[in-house]
Amino acid sequence: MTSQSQLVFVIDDDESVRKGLKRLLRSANYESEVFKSASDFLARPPHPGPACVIVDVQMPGVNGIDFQKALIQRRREEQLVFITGYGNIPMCAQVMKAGAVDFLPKPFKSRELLKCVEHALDRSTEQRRGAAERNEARRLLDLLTPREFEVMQLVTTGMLNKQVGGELGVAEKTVKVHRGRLMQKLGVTSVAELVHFVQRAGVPPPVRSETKV
Amino acid sequence: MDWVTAVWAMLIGGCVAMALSHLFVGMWQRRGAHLCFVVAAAAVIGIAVGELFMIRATSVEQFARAQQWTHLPILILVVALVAFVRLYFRTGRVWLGVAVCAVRFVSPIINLAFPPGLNFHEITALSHIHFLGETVSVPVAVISSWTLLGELSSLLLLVFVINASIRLWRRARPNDRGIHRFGNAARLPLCVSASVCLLLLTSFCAAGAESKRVLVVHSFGTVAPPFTTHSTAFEAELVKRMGNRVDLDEVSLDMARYAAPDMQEALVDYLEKRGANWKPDLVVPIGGPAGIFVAKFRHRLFLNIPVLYCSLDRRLLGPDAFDENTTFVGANYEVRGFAEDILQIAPDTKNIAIVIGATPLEQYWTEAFRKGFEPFTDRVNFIWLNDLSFDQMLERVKALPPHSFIFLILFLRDAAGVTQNADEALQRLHAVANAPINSIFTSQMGLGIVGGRLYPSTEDGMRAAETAVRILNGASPSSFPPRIVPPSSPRYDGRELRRWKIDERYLPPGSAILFQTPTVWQQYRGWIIAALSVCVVQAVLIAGLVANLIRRRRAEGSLVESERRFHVMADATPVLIWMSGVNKLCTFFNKPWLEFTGRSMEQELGNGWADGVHADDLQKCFKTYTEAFDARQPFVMQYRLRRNDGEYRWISDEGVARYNAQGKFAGYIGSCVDVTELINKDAALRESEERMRLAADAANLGIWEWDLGNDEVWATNARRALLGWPASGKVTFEDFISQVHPSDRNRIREIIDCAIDEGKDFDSEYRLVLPDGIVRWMATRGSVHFDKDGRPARVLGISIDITARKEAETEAKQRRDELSHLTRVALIGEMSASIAHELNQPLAGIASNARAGQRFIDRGNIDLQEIRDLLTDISADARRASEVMRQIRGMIRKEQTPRQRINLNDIVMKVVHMVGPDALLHSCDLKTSLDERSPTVEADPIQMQQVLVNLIMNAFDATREIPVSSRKVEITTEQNGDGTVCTSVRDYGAGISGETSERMFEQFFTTKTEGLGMGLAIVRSIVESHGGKIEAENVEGGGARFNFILPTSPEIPK
Repeated sequence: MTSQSQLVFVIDDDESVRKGLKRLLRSANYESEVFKSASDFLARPPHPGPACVIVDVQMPGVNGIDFQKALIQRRREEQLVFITGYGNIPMCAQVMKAGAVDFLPKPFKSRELLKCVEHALDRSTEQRRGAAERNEARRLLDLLTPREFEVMQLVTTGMLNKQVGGELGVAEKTVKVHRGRLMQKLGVTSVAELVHFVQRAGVPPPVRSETKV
Repeated sequence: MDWVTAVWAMLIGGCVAMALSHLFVGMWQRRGAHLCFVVAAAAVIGIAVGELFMIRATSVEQFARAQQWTHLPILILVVALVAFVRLYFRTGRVWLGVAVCAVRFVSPIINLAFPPGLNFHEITALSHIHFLGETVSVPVAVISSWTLLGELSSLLLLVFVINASIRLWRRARPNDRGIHRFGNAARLPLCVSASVCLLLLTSFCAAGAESKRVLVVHSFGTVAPPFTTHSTAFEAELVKRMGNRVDLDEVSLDMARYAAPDMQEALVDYLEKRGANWKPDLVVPIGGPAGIFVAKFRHRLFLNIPVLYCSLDRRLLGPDAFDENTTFVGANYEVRGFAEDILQIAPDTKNIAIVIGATPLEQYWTEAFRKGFEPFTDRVNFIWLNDLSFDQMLERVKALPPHSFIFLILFLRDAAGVTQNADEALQRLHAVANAPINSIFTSQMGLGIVGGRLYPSTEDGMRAAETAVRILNGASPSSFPPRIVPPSSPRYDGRELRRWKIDERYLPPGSAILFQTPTVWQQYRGWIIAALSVCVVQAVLIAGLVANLIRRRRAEGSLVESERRFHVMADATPVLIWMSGVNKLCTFFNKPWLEFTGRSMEQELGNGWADGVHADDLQKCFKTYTEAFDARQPFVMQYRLRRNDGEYRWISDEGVARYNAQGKFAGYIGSCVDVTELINKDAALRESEERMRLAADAANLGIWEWDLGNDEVWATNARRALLGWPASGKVTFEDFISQVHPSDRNRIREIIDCAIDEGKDFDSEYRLVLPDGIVRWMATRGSVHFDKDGRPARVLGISIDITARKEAETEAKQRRDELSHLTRVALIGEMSASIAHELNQPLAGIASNARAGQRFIDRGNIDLQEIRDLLTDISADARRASEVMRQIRGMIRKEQTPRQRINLNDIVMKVVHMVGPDALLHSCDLKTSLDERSPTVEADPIQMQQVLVNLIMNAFDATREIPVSSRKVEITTEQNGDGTVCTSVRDYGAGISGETSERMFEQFFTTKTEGLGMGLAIVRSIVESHGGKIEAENVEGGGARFNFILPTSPEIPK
């Protein structure tokens, strides 16, 4: 992974909060950018490095929760830290379930916020790495022929070659050949590695019909 | 039981009764006074018993003993009286009382020591006198000087009682307050003391009235007319006048029999002895011999004793018989007169035979008459029979010559020595004599004498008794000049006149003729007159009846005429007429009556008309009628009478008595009118008045009326009671005003004066200060009424006590304010999102900036400008936070901010800013559209904010269900042309449902699950208290709009 620079974004409609946060982040040696509204942020092209967004829940126009939904929809990877002047438990639960890093009621302790930011950035980094790996795995998977793909899917379910052959309607030998070839393409040496690989790629397991064993 | 015992017994009984009653009272009240009275009463009983014994005493010893013992109860009585006076009156000098008792105490001692007792030195005999028709014993005794002791004690007692009662009276009098109590008490002592005094005084009199002794000295025996006639008359009169106060004793010289000098001497001795024991207070010799005797022996027998010579000729006594202690009542016989009398009535008398006896007295008189008749001897031959015996006289008078007259002077003892009774002799002579007889004394009339100027025999006895009484009572005899009793007017025996054919013409004028046999006319005069008068009366009656008949015929004619006229009129009038006779039964009813009741005359006559009277009224009707009838007074009464259709109508019946032509009562006549309508109206009016009064009282309404003419205020009893005015009596307007609260007085005065001037109605509210200091609110409404000249005459008004309402209003306002405050507080709660947010923003800023500053410093590279900026931002944030707090405090404050001229737009903007965060929370868009003219209102800014916040929060709630993009709340202000400004809050929510729209402004009505339901109610009350109003409506395009309109206040010219 390339170590891009970390960036912290602040979205809050209140100027005091923005100013305060920017100063605080700077004092913690974080680079930050402040936005008055979520729309402004979304207009900006995504940052290529680990990013954390500190976002206020109550905002005119698009509020924090909508913003979160929008990000998810766009498969954005920025990690969110929610701050709010008026929070209640259902709101908190909702944003956390949707994948926020943390939910801090104002006024928040500066140390807490910074911790969250760090945590968020770590997660962002981690996520980026994961994403990179997945992309790689996907690329490799794309090199497989369709038949090889099917065989891979079935093998990962733990089926024996014979079973795979039965399932696909080909001879066991053919299966063996495919298996060897795909394993080579993917760069794995065992079924276990294959499984890991597939998982990394995020390929969903196939729908299995009744196992006729 | 004889009278005396009866009376005494009654007295004793009375005393017993009094004693018993006082005993009970004394024991109940425990007052010694009553017990003393009991003792006194018992003592009186003892005295009465003693007196009874004395009265009934048959012997001197008995009398004396009774007397002695009587003194004991007398002592007890005195002591008890003294004690009674002292205890009952509580006054009375003690030493005086003690003195009284002491003196009285001495009396029984003396009684016992000196028999026979205190009062009498010696009781010589018991004489019996008549008292109340019974004989009672009275002592003949010498009064002892110890009597004075008893009298002294009585006197002292009298003084004691009078003194005690005067002291009590004086004590009671000046005390004005207790005058009533003492009034009775003051009267009481007067009564008691008066009765005690009376008792004592009578005892004085009784004690003082000891018997007077009179000695009558008779000349001749017991029956010796005319002397005994005199003496009987004298004694009878004396006893009559003095009763048992005179002790009469008689002694007779009996000179008829005993005239010898030695007999006289014996008599003198005898009288001397008698006089030693019994000294008379007066000596009354009757007749010449007695007079001479007494005159002769006065110095021996009756020295210093008054003498009354009675019934004798004065010439019999010498001048030495008379001194200052004597007097005389007698006659001066004129001898000539006798002869003249005879010759007058029988002028042709030739002979007069003189009958006279032979006692020395008679001899004296014989001589005197001889001398006296001398002048007549030439006319008349006097035949002196004094030397004959009576029988001889009788023979002589049988055969007297014609034209004779017999004259009897005195006849006590004839020549033969036989004692005679002159009156008997007269009668015997009369029986045989052949000539008329005459004599001297009036008492001899009817015995056979003809009559003439006779000398009264009883009269001088009575005159003598009069004089005797006066002498006995203490007058000096010398104060009575000798009294000569003249002959009385001529009187004649009618029988003798007839017998001797004496012509009445000869009788002197002024003669009285006695013993006349009346003529037939005289005898049967009464009957004749009666018969005649009966005839006359009959005749008169017949004449009268005839005349009456004629008159009646005439009267009947006119009566019939008048009756006819009456009937015609009675039947023509619409009034119902009835008549009744003297027996109260009705005799006539006019046609209208009969038509009214629908009955016939026969049915109504008598008491038949009562059938038509209503049962409830019948009793009263009859009563009024009969009472008035008996009193012959007119009457008016109302009762219900059944009309011919069965309905009972109220009738007013007036009846008067009527009299016939002679003025005699003939019965009653009356007229009736149907007054049902009037009565109903009257009843209805009374009922309605009563209802009004009840309603007024129930509603606590006071009705009053002020008469402007005489400044008198009339008010219902309820109002009078309320104001503490008396139930009656004049009340003026000023009285009323003085009770109005000082701060309202002028206002009320002005209002009423204004109303009177303009003739308008008025109403106002004011406070009354009631007599007990309580303040009450009254609402009064009144109107002015004018008299016929158009001037204000009266003010009528109604007042209601609205204190309760006012109190309720005040309380309600208080509650509202409290509630307003509470909802403001609640509202703050609802706005907590905003508040929290508003506070948290600056706080977060402050925290961040401060932390950053610290980190900068820790890091080491301090950019001072950066720090400076940072600190500036911190203070700005702090200010922001405190501004929010200030606003909140303003909302929470309980006291009302004063109303002020505020710009509505500013308020709206402020509120919009305030609820900004909440708008975000609800994802609501808040828009304003404000009138450019910047309307101002006179209002409480905080309350206005409260209204707007409430409406806006409600609008937010309303937009909860709708999608975010449509969530809008619009606030507008708009100034209307009519001086009001309309502010509206509009949402795009679901709108107001039907049920909600009716009830949404109600208290405790909410559609929120957690709402109080007070918001809109408070909003409305705030708007309305500012003089505005609020309404809500559903708007086209969705949602609801709440408008409230407030009056603008004119802008201050800039």
